Amino acid sequence: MVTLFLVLSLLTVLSALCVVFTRNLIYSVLSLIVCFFAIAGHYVLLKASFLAVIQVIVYAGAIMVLFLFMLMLMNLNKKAEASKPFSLKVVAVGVCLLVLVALVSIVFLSAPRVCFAPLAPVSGSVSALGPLLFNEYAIPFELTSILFLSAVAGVVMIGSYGKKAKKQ
Amino acid sequence: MILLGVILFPFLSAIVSFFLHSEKGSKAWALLSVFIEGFLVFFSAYLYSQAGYLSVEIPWIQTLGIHLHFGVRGFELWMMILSAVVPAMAVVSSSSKRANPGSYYGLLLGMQGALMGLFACANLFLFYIFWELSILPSFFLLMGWGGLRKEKTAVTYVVYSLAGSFALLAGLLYVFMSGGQVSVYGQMGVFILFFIAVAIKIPLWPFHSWQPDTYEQTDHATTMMVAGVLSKMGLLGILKVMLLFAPLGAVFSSDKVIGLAIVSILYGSSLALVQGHFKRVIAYSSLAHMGLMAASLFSGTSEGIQGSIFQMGSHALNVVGLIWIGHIIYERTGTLKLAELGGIRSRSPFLSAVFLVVILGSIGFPLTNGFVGETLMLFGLYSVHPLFAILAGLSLVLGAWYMMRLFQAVMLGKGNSNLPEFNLTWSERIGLGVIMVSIVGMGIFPQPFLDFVTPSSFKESDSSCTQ
Amino acid sequence: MYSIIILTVLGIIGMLGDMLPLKRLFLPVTLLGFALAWLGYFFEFPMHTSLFSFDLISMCFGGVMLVITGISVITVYGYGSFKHGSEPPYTVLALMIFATAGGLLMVAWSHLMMLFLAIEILSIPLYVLVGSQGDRKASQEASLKYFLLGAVASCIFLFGMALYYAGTGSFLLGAVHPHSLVGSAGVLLMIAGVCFKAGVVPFHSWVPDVYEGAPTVITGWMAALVKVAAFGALTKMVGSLSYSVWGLEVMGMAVLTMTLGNVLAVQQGSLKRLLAYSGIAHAGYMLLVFLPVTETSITTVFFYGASYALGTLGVFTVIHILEQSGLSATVDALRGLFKRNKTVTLLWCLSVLSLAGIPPLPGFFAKLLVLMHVVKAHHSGLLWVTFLNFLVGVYYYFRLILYPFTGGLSEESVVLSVWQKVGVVILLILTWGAVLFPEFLLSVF
Repeated sequence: MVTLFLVLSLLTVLSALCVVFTRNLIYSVLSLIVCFFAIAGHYVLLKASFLAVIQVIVYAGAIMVLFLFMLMLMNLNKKAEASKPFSLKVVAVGVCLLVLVALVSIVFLSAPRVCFAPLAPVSGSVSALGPLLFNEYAIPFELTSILFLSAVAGVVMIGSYGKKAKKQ
Repeated sequence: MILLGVILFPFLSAIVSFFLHSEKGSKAWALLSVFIEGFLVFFSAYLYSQAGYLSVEIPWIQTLGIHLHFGVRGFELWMMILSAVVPAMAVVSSSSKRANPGSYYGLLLGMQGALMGLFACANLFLFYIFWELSILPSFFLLMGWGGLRKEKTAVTYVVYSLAGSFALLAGLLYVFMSGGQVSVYGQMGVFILFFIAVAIKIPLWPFHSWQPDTYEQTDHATTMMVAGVLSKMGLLGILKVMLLFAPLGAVFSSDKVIGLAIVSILYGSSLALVQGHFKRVIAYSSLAHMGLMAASLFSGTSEGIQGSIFQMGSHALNVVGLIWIGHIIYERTGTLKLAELGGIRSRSPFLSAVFLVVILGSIGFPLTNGFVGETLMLFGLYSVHPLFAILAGLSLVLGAWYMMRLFQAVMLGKGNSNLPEFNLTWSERIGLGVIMVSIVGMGIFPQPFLDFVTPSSFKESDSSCTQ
Repeated sequence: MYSIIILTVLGIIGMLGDMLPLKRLFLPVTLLGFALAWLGYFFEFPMHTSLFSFDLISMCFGGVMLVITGISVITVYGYGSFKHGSEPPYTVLALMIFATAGGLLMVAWSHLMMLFLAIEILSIPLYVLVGSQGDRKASQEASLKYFLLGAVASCIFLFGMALYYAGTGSFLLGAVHPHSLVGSAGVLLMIAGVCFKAGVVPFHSWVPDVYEGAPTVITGWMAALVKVAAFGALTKMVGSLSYSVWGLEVMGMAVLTMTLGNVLAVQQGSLKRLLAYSGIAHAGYMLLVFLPVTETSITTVFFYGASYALGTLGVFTVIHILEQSGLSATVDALRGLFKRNKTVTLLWCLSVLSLAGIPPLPGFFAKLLVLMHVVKAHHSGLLWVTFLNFLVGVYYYFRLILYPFTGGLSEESVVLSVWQKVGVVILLILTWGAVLFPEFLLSVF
């Protein structure tokens, strides 16, 4: 169990770093897929099988395909990348390191160690999530529809501006 | 309740005035409004003489414990009469064509309302509100109808005024923090903050540099309001707020304040001697007069305070007369530069006579209103220290000098040979006549006015002020 | 809940606006719906569940947000039908209504997930609306910038939520006081996430660009709505968290925010950027109210939010009217406004003076309340910093008052559409109402 967790964690972090550091955008998208799969593995370890499946289907599947399409359509290559001043990079790295140190030290220093309740064997299954989602959390579930509705309206609006411009 | 009417009426008629467009209509409305307001003020003066104290209290913001609390004592009523008379003069004297007359008179009436509120208010919170409220109309009047250099002048004016009101606010906050019971050191601090506020408003040297430009750049009616009433706000602040909340500060630093005031007396008088513009002479002479009034308020003697309050009225009358005459001259000749004026006496002997009487009043000639006030004030200063009285007394000599120089430059001499005719209108004749008669009247029978402003009327402390 | 449902229905009507019959009824129906949405609070008041709590805070802040959107809907509707001579922009109106629903939720949550959801419902329409002038490059750029930074802020908030859950085992703020470091870190990250929305330094870098890029009517509406919503959410958050966790950080942010905002506002030539920086400074003043949280805090932040919203709406309405008359939104565009339209100048002066805090306008009472709060908290250093900041603020606001009375670039008078006139008059009435009856807003809590 622990070995599996360590391997998966290493894979997650390494692939995430790859996403940031590779120059070629296609490569970075591919390593993002690896990252998503590794996270799905984590979900499986946590007995959240449903989430793992969703992760693979939605993120590694649908969203990544969208990303690839975007990249190919917009034909982004190395030259399009704007170079940032060195000083900005140093500051960014510094700030990120500080935040990292702060968070890691908090986890290790916190007096009462974080203790999690032992997971119920069925907590992440579809049969457990379903009633929760449609009983206790029915209202937030419905409210997300407002979110999607406004996103759809927004997309239509932005899209129609392009059309208008072409007509003129 | 009459007090509330006195304060609200100018604001209401100001709102109406903003909607008027024609020159004649808006002036008629403004005239009607200032006369009704004058009637209201004199009626409340009558009520005051019956009751001895007028007050009204209405809850406004109960969460903060802020009430609309107005109360009027003798000297406050005196100031209210002043701010009823001066706007009336300002409206009557307005004859030239202006852009947007409705807004102009509206702002003038709004300023009148703010001044009424300031003079009648009975707690610190309202005092601050009306203090700030009086800045806005004068700023807009300067910006909208000022002279060529109005922008720069307006910025200077506003920066000075707001610095003053922030000092006032800081002082009020300090008083509020300590719940009305200010410690000795606290009183020193509060005294300094309040002093900055009033010294800018009066103005006293070294806080005066906004004043000459403002006088020169503003329209004559605005100048009347600023010189006649707005400057008295500072003196009223001394009486109403400074002596009440920081009495120990006043005890400790009154010598220094009197010293500063005497510097501004001498500074103003000497600079008035060399000015080449009619309104700038008035500005610097005002600086000197206001310095004398401030100094004698801090003398702490009943003669000094009584004289100072009396002089507030007579100075307002005199300065309004001077500005009016200046305006009449400017309308006919198109200039107020002393070098380009002269020989007007031959064109209009009446104007020249009025001018002479006003000048005599403002230099404190016996049998005029200035004499009564200045004598009392010098008495007060003398009892503090003879040197103060001697130095302040120099202002009389210098005053006579620069006023005579002004008279000579404007009225005497050959001057411009192609001067136009000075046909004074009836309203000008009546208005100037009233000023002339009251200058002499107040000089010959000062007693009724002095009774009105006995210093005992403000010694009782008003406990509601701490709220 | 009724209010959210009503707003959603209105939003859907708006989305279908182009094809519905009886288009004339759209505006009255929307405004009536807003009124009903506010009345809806009374039917279920107070309602506390594990997800929501519709209490006095949500009712009052929600009411202010409904008024803000109501006025903006009127002006946007008027602008749309005025400019094109045809259809009002129904989609824009629908998105505004959806965002308002998010704003209402931001002050009616008790479960952290609901807060997150509310922030997103508010934000997504905003990203779109900021970019709704598709033919302007600045608008598109601002939209993208806002979206990217907003997504990062959402991530930070989510991360904070996760840490909070890890530290306390709960998603309810009041349930457990986080004494663990993990929980505290979570709280700080969540506060950072909300402060991003409020435009607090150091999360402010989006504010000037977005304010400038967004269409002006949207800018005014957004500035008012988001600030009220974010500070409503903060009020609900910090009230149930122990002061020692976030006190020092928030104090630092408050001082930085007001100082930086004011200092940078002084030298701006673009009106919208100037108001953006001054908006940052106002966020700083509002943060002061939580140091520490007392029983007057809610009243103060509510009154401040309402008066800021009123002033901001007024100012941006005037800028919009200026732009409509063919000028760009620079400070110089104000020149000669007095000669061009007096009513608009009056609204401009009142709004700017209210923002500057000149008595007796509502902004003055708001600043006074803040000062009194700082006085009572006995932070004398903080008091002087605040005071100096007010002074700087007054300085640059008065510059804005000066310009309408100077010689102008354009002499032609400004013409408004009917609905714009209605909007201007409503703003004027509300401002005077707040002058005469501040008690109405101050006594609710």
